[in-house]
Amino acid sequence: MTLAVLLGYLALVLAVGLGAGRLFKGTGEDYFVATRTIGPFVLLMSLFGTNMTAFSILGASAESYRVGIGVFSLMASSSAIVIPLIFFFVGTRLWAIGKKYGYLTQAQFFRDRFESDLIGLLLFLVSVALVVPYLLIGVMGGGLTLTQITGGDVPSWVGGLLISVVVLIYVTSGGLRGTAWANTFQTLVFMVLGSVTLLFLVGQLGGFGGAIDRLASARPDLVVRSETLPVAKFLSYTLIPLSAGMFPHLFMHWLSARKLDSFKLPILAYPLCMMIVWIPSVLLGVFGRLEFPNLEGADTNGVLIKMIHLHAPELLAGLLGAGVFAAVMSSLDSQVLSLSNMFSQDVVRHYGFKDQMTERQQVLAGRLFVAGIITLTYLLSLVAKTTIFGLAVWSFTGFSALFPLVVAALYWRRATRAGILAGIGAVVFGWIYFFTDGWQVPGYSVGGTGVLPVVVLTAASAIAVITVSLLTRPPSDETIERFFPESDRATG
Amino acid sequence: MRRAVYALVFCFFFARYDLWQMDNPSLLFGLPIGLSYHVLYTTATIGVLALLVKFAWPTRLDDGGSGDGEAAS
Repeated sequence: MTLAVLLGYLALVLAVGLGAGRLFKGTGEDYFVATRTIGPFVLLMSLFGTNMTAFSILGASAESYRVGIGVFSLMASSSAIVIPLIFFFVGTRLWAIGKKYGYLTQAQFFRDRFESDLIGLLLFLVSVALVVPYLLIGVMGGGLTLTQITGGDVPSWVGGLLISVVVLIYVTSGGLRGTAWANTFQTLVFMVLGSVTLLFLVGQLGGFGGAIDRLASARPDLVVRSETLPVAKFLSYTLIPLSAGMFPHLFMHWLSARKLDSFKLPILAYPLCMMIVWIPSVLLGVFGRLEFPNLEGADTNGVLIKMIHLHAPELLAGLLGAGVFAAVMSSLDSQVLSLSNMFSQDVVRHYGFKDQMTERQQVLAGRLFVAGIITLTYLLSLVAKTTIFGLAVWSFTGFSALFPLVVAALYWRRATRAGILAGIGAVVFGWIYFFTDGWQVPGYSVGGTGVLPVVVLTAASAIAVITVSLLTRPPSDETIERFFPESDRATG
Repeated sequence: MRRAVYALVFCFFFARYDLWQMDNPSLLFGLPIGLSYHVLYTTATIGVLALLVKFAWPTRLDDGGSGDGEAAS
């Protein structure tokens, strides 16, 4: 029964995505940004659903299982303010510039803003490299969910494969419109089912009061933060949500907005959506300690699913598992589409193939590239043994460290090509250094100080951009006028 | 008004660092205070963002500007 419900859900998602795909107009702009026609509600659901992945459902519950209720303060309350501020200060501006000059990717914007092909190419390569771990947690989460919710009857490679194939089909046929519609549907599903899961499982545990009392006496360290959450770590995590400013999949969704006012609802409703998803994830994670006290390492990823499997009847378990699938796929689809978009625009079109290929052939090239990336991700998921939370944080660290670049591009006229290249260099070499040093070390921090690599990398990136920009020749007057019009400066 | 709202957002942001209650085990609204405080903070964030949208909305962006103009009131 559980498996039938999950398969039924996958079929439904496929139908929604393919249904939207029937509206595809055959152009690159329609495929990648839905001809910039997405309204406020679908934009909210797309942006939020894209940002909530296995990290927010399985990863957050697993991390709460390990370190307690402080996980909400680590990620949720900071993301609830930082990400809407990024929509406000970065998203709206990129939307306006993208609409004015017809941009479809970040690389196109940076290439023009800094008069440099090399910057565009480097950003493409760095973004692809950092998105792959993010894709990986989705595929891993899908496999884990299916295995544990069926009591081990279905091996994890089947779940990962199913999710990969379904996402690949509806993304490649429906483009951004199909992805946005499927995202809206799936975001509503996982928000509703997340709340249902919390209420149902807490009821099984004897109510909130009873569960909290039991937790406080069994594991008092998990209801405070001082023992499991060092202050340096708490402060460091503030920088992690900055990653949203450089996620290529969020950039793509920003460009799809119909008008400026479409951003108002996502900005205002994002904190509410965060609470709806993260409160259940965190509470169910810590309550998992009461039921499964001895999980270690990557096994903690499955604590939420184990709780569902233990307590929920088969039909409900299937529905709740579908909620986890929804969260996973609503992110995978946008990430996959943004990769396809970048490959088509930043490689195929930009490097001279546009004259030799029709627009449909260019879209096809993007689809084939995505099929290759998904296959690679799927193969990696078969051998990866790590915590979902930890893997995601490494990906976010890289994107957060790139954030000073977009701030400089939008707000600092004096920022130069050499400055941006120096910033990218600082991020790439710094990230490789820290990743090779610490990816297998649980709770890794810089020199054991508690400070996370994201702090050092973001600071290094900002310092590199500022210092090198001040030492090198400013951009041409023509470029400055293009991105900072005189009329604006006069009234600003 | 726009600058006042920016200042409010800036100050409000730091209210999330509730370092004084990192080892406080008491409950607030039935939840450990380290969680309920941040739920309240997140709820209050909606109000702060509403002020930002109301008084600092970059209306000039609709005309292709960089967005530094005053919001329409």
